[in-house]
Amino acid sequence: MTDDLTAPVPGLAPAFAMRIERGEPVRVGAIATGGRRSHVSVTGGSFTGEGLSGTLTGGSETLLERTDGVTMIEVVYYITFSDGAVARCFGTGYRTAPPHFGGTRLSLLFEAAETGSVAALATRAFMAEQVDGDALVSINRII
Amino acid sequence: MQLVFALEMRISLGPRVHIPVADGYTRGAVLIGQGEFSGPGLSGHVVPGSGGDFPMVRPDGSGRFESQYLLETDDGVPIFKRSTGVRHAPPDVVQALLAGEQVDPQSYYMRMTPRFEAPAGPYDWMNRTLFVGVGQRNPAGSIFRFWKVV
Repeated sequence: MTDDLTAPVPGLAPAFAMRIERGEPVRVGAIATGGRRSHVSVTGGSFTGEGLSGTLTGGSETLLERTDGVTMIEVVYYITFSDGAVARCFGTGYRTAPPHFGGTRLSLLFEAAETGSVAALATRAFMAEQVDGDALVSINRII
Repeated sequence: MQLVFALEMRISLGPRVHIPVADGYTRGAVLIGQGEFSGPGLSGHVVPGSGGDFPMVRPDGSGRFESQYLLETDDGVPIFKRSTGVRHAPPDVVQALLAGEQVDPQSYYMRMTPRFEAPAGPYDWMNRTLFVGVGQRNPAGSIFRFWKVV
């Protein structure tokens, strides 16, 4: 039963760096299904790497601070590239604190016009990380 | 950020349903049959009838996965697994996959990013951990291997 184990072993390849500017949090408060819900709007930022350069032209981060100390995050970022192409980046992840990883990690996918210049973004999955204190989100392609 | 091997899962697939939604886009429903999983400090089985994979497949066969089902560890702990993923491949490879033929798993890109919900206890690290999965479709079922992001 081991001869059929021929699938590739995945890896993470650094691809993009993203800087996010955020508005003031909107706090729902403690909710009946557990945790504290809040939301922040993306007000700007930058996205660079692999010859691409863009600005963040919208998006949001929806947070649920769970009672176990882990914050679940659902994100959407709209990126407008220098040639005018637009991609929607979306995903989910966790923010954790020491003694666990101190920072945020997100699994991300992209949507883009399939005839556009950044269509290839939608054909791969990505893993992002921002260590607490770092200004940039490091986005890795899952290979 | 590094990937550390976490578990391997082998599942058989149950009934399949295809819902032609629009313009050739199809919502598939592949119900999970039986399966086992094992990895360092973790082993058990897939709970039969607890869910499946519900991919949105494009006319060219590429698509996005959305799956959810339950696991149960050998020490009796239920764990909810939910996953999204991407499949992208040349059209001839996709056609062979859809026809249920044996296809070289190196010839297509199939990656998942599952999330788990486990109760407090020995498996609650899964509640704060992201994973990367690689899928391999065989005629009889699927093999998934998952690495944790550390």
